[in-house]
Amino acid sequence: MARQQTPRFETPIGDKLSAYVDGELSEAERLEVEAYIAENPDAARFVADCQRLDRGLHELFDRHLHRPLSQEQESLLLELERERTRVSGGRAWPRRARWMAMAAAVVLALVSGGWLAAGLFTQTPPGQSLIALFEEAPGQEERSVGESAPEAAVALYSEDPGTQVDTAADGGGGEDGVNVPDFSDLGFTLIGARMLDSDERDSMQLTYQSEDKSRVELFFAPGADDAGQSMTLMEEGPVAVMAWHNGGRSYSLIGEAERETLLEMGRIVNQEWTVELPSPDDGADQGQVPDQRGGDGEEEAGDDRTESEAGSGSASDDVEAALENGAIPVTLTED
Amino acid sequence: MGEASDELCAYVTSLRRHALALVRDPVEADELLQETMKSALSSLRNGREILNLKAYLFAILHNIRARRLRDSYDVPVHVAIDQVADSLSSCANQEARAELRGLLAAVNGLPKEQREVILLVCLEGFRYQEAAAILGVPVGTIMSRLSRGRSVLIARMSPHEPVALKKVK
Repeated sequence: MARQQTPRFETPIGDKLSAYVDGELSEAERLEVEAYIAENPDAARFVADCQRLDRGLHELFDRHLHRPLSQEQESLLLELERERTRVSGGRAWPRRARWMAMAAAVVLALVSGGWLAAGLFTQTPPGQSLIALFEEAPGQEERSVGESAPEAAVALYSEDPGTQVDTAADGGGGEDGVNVPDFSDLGFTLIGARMLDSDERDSMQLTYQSEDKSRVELFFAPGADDAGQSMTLMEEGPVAVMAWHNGGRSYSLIGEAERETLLEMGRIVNQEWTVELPSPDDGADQGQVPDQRGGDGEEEAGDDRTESEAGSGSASDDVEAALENGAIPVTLTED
Repeated sequence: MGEASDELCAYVTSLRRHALALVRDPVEADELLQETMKSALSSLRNGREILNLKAYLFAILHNIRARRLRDSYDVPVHVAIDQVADSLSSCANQEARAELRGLLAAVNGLPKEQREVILLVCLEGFRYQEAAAILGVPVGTIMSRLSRGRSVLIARMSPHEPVALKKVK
């Protein structure tokens, strides 16, 4: 039998080294551990052994991946596929779940990268609240255009982008007007709107839907001015995400649409839409006439993914990692 | 695989690999796999929308297994004797073979709680948060079981002190 050695690393550094191998440490912790490893050859050996262990496990068990399934397993597999497709509205993609998770990952990265106001998501663990954000259909917590008071509906939607509508927005004073970007030329109509933070009147989530039930969400919130002018545009299968900064506000468009559509929407938001939302502080967050930026020509060449440069390097890395690993909390019930 | 998507196929074959590594008995592993798929099917048919299907499948598998362990005092183990021989026959290297044999014995010898976590994270590639949700334990528990399990496995992996790091390929 193998000669047993005392396990070399006990908690807590053992836990950290282990988590380092799995890429589960925060940026700060990772740097700490890397420094520790540089000073401690035993730690370096442990890390290398963990990788050796992983390879060994795959050597032992991967062959099971390639054995054919039994008849019963095959037919169960087909039924699962059919059921899964049916639940997501008859499409093999986009599965709402996947794009929700992806969108959540992006918004989360934007928050952690400082692009969106962190205050938006402080109540519950970011992952959970973002999932909840996307799971709710309009009409639950959101005010549905046309379903709640007609006056509110008028307040929220204007045929003429750029015009202020003088009505009472929810809870607002008489003078406060709200209008929203109009994407009807692109086939998308507004189906819901929601404040993201009751204190932060300038943070909203707008939900648009097209005739074939594709959805696009527009988020905006006050954002740090030093986040730069660059834009992130990404596509992951059927879902595209665009995030940018303009006039003291952070925006992100996320949805089941092509990147050209999002670019066009971004242009509409930037060039045609001026928003002045009711704010408790008088004139604290005035909308500004946007720059002529629109997003055209900002898009980097490349195939499916492009990344922004300004100040969100690690946010992009987080997003990529999150997308690769689908690292989103699981919603489970007892089975 | 017919009309099934690559993604779902990958989930199911991973599930099977996991079941086999976990319970060692191919008969029981197949039963677990089938029960898991049936359970997932019925949930989907009841209209549940599942965000992370892969993790969900694994969670069901673990729940079913936990229930079976609870309910039966005597779990029959039809151990396939040639389980190891299969995978090792392609290994030309004597030392590599010995190492893998050692590893298999070590994995089978791990306490159940550690083996589950090792397999979920190291073999199946789940994130800590997913593994925590699958097993119904806090993330901290995942971390400590994992590091302890790894220490034990590493110590038992090779009959010799690991001198040079070989790429076992």
